[in-house]
Amino acid sequence: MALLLLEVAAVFYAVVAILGLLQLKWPRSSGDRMVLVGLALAVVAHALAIGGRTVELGNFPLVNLHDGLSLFGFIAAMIAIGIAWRSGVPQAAAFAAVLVTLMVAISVWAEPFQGVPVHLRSPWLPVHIAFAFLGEAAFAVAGIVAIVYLIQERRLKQKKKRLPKVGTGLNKLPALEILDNVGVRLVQLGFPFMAIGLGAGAVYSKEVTGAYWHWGLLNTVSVLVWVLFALQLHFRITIGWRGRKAAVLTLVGVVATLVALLGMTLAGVGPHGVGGMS
Amino acid sequence: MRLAAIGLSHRTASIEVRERFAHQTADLCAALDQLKALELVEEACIVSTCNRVEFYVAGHAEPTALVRALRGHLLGLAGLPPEELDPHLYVHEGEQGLRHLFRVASSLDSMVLGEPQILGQVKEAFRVASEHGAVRADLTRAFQKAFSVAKRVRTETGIAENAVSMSFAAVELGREIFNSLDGKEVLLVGAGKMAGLAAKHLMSYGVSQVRVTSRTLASAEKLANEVGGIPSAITDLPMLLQNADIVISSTAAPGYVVTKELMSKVVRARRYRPILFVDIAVPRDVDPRVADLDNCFVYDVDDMEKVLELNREARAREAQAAEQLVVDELSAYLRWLKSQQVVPVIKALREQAMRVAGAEVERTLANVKDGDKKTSQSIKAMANAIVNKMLHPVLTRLKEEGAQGDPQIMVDVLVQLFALDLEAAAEEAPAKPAEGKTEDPGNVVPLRAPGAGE
Repeated sequence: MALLLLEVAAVFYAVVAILGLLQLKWPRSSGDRMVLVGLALAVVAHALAIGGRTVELGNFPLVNLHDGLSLFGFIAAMIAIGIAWRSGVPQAAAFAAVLVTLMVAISVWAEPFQGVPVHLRSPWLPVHIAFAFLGEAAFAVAGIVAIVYLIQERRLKQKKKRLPKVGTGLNKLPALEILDNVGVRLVQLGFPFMAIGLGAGAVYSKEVTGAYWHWGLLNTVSVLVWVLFALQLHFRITIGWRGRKAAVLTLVGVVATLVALLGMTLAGVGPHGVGGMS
Repeated sequence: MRLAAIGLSHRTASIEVRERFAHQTADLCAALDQLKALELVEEACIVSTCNRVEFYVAGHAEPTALVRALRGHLLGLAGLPPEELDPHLYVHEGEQGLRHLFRVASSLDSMVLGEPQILGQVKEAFRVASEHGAVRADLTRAFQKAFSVAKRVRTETGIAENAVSMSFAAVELGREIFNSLDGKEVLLVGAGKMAGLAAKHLMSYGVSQVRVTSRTLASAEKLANEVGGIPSAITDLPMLLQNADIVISSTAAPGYVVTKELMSKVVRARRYRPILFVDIAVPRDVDPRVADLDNCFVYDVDDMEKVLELNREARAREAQAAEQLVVDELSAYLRWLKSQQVVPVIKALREQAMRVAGAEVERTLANVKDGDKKTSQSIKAMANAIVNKMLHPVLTRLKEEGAQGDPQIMVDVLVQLFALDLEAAAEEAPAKPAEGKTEDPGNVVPLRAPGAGE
């Protein structure tokens, strides 16, 4: 039942993604609202799926690829709705729908299994996964906003742009200032979550393997990106560093994290190359 | 369509000629009274703005006769001999008058195509005339329709979206970078007139402060006074650039005033906040390489022209769409008006026939003995049936002509043949749409053309 609901949500996301991309290219006056409402409907279906899964398992579903990615997509979609609705970046909804479609599709494809092997169980595991995904979802949407920023910046620098016409989509992007502010706020939001997620991960690792740290692709990338973002936030405060380079850096960090996460899990070795997690 | 429009605008007359009329129509009510006092003129409305003075009249005469009366009146107003005034006047009779009204209200005849003010001015003119009792059914319908057409043009085409001007482009570019111009600081480098205009425009969008610098402090002070800004010496330029968000430069300097070397230092000092340069000077004031720096956006005259040119093309397309919309609305409205022409005739004809039939039935029934209910009902039904069957082909043909052709001849013939009293019929049913599916344009601005579906 929960899987069926998740499949429904996946179809919804896919439709919204297509509508959203069409809206970016050939905008219609009511299109943004339609995309937003569609995304909200998909999120509702998704919430029901996660609720159903909770009932099935008897506790909050977190600890395998299927549930983890599903939750990741859910959080990212919620954040994107917030950004599109409240911060005046309607384009975020379309791009986020594409990303979340991918996440949920993989989640559907990765068959759920019922539990974690006994030797890998720990109360720290759900804490680690929840916070890491909260952080990464915020980063992912920050990456989306960075893409929109780079498009707008390029248009302004090329000076080929015409005055904004009626409508939305790619014809009328949000002002650079908005994109810059929203992007940095998302990084600021994801940053502490990521820190807690990393910390909890280390404690968990110590519990089940006896060591706080294992050199693995995802571990390394995550810590590097975290440090990168820490530096970015630091320099923004100290010397006001922002703009195009900041957006590129955000995007690089986000893409690296997502590639590492999805690459490891899709390779079938589990996010951290630990057996039994996928 | 017994309507005529006569007037003069920025297209046909210089400001001096327009002024003569503007003065004469300063007291609109008195001017309206004068118009109404003219023979043949039943209704009048005067649209007087700084770009045009137009007289719209309707009456029970051919438009040509109305125009003749009006022209004589205007010659008197202007105090000019005919050969001096005539070249400036344009005259639109009947349908053309309506079309002109639609175009004016839709801002298709404005100096700045699509500017939003004109609709309000036409509405105001109509309101005054209406409150003064100078307009009745014909002009009221025509103006209401013009308002609804203008609204459609505004909402369904992009013509109203932007007005062509350098300052407008500067504001729009500014809003692509800064979400709102509220609290932003503008710096004018060079005290050109264009820069002053742009500054005023930017201030109307909430810019908090304008600083003016120029090679001579005196001219900076002069422009600063004009726009309500703060003058500064050109030696302060680095500091001024550090705080400004939008820079408009227009100096006559032969070389670059803002160099890349200067800006790369300033950029750091301003903590990489975005800055927009609008360089309208020739030769240029801002080194184009400044654009290589992060968050520095440089637009020179050519770039601005490009922005405006693209805009102009888009606007020309929109204007075409708007013109088409006006034409469509006009023909739908005329069709509706024509169908309205036959309504009172149909009503009068039917009433007359029913009256005759009714009287004859009464007389016949007086002879029917014992009040045989069934017989008298049959007689009534027969009379009705005869009337309806006789009139049916006539009325059908009349309606057809009303919908497609010109029903005037038929109407005249019928009125004469049957000695119909149209006034009485019209008074009983004032300007009601002929069929249930049409809308009354006298109502609040119908969006669909009345009678468009017929």
